[in-house]
Amino acid sequence: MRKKISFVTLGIPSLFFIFSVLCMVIFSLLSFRTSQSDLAMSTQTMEQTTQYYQACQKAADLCLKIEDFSIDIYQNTEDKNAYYQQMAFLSDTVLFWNETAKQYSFEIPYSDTQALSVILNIFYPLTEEDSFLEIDTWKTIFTRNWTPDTNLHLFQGE
Amino acid sequence: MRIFTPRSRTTLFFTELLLSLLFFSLSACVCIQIFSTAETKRKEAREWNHIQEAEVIAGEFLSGSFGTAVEFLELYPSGEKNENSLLYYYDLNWKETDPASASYCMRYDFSQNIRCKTIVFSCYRKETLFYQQKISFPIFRTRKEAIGT
Repeated sequence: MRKKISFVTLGIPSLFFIFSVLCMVIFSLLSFRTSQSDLAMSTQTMEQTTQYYQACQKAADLCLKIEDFSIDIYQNTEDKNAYYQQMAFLSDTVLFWNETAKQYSFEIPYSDTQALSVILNIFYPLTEEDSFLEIDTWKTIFTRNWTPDTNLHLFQGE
Repeated sequence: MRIFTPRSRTTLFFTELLLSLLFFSLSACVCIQIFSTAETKRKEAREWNHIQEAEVIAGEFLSGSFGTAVEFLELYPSGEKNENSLLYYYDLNWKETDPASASYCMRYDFSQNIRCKTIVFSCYRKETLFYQQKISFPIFRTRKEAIGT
């Protein structure tokens, strides 16, 4: 006699249960991991952008300080040579004066690996429309060298 | 030895089904919470992306202009001018919308400082400030502006 196949078979619900829970857990953990890394990436980018603009603000303040200083010297010196000689007095651990290029430069670090580098051209204004400073460079530089690991660890034998 | 009759097999099947459903609903609860956390994190990530974008727009605009509200409005005309600030409204999907149905508001405050072009960029979520950043770039004066002669 042929055996009658019934849907009432033991183990089928358990199999469905295991399969569906496994799928659900895998998909939920995958989406959680993806969103977590998305958020970490966005937060990091945001922090870096914020730090960059904070560095810009500090740089702007320093530029205005140099401008004030140059205006003050301009009013108290008689000629171009004396003006440039006096300009060197503002240099310190942050501000560097380049005598030959007549430039002030400074770096404002804003992360472990990056800094805002600013170079300003200092002028002795001859006409009323000339300004005392001009931005030559305003850019992000890397402060730490990255040396990629190019070694291949090959099997050397025993 | 116990003999399983068709009746007892059916009872066992339904007991197994019920137990499976119970454990399925328990694990579904946990998984739904994980999905929900993932969705919250994704939403937060999207928020930061849009804020970063809006902030960089302000920064790039400042570095290449005189930093006035009128100039900014020429570049991004959908803003609502309010004295010396501009307001941009966004819905939940970060599409520009009207103030009544807005979920986010970006506000750009332009300074009147002649020595420094500055934007104070703020982002509001349902009238609560949750990000603010001041962006400044210097403006150098001419000899005439500085000392008059």
